[in-house]
Amino acid sequence: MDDDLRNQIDKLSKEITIINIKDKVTIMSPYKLGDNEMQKIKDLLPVIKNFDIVNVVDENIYSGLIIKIGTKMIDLTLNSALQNLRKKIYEGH
Amino acid sequence: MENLGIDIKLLIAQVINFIILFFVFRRYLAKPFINYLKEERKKDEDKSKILSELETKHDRMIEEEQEFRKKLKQEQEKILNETKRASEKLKEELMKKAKDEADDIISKAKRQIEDDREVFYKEVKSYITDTSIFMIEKALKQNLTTEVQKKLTEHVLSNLQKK
Repeated sequence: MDDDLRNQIDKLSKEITIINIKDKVTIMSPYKLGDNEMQKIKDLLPVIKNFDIVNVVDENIYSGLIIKIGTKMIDLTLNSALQNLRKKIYEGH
Repeated sequence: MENLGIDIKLLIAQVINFIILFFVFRRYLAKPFINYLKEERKKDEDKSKILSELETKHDRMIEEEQEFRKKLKQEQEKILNETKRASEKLKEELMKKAKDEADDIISKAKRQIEDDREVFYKEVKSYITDTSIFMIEKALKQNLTTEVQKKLTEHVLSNLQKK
């Protein structure tokens, strides 16, 4: 799963160059992110440093975060992991 | 002659009388009677002939009737045999058809049972999956503190940064 997420991040990094610079970056998390965590995110996705970053708290997220840039999104939440698990169990029929 | 009591004149008269009688008898009695007898005989012969012909015809008719009966019996036996064969064949066909239909029904029932089992299995699996996920989500909602959330987020970010 980690490889899959890394591939998504790499793909998003390449696609971000064609996204309008006026788009803001929204990071949704279950709690307010600290500077340390924001830095780690910027290290993970260096291209977002040039964007206006907004942290939105969503209590429905169990853990992890969602990074939205324009119409693109990377879901790093436990919620999506559970959904993937459910999907894999269903596909295993 | 007179001494014997024979009168010649009378004798001649009697002879003439006899001859006349003879001719009259022959012409008016004997001939018709003989003709009558001939006719009767002819009639009898005709009757015999007709009777003989009738007997012959009767015999022939009896023979023909026997022949006809014999042929009729043969035809009946032939028809009976053919009917028996046809009914046997029909019986076999019906039995085969019934067996094929029974086999088909059994196959369909087996397939239906398999399909139902598959559906049931999927439903049970879905139910268990949904219930399990629901319970996990509920447990997470109750037990995930902010500290744990932070640790998990950090763990995810750290893993993704490793290349």
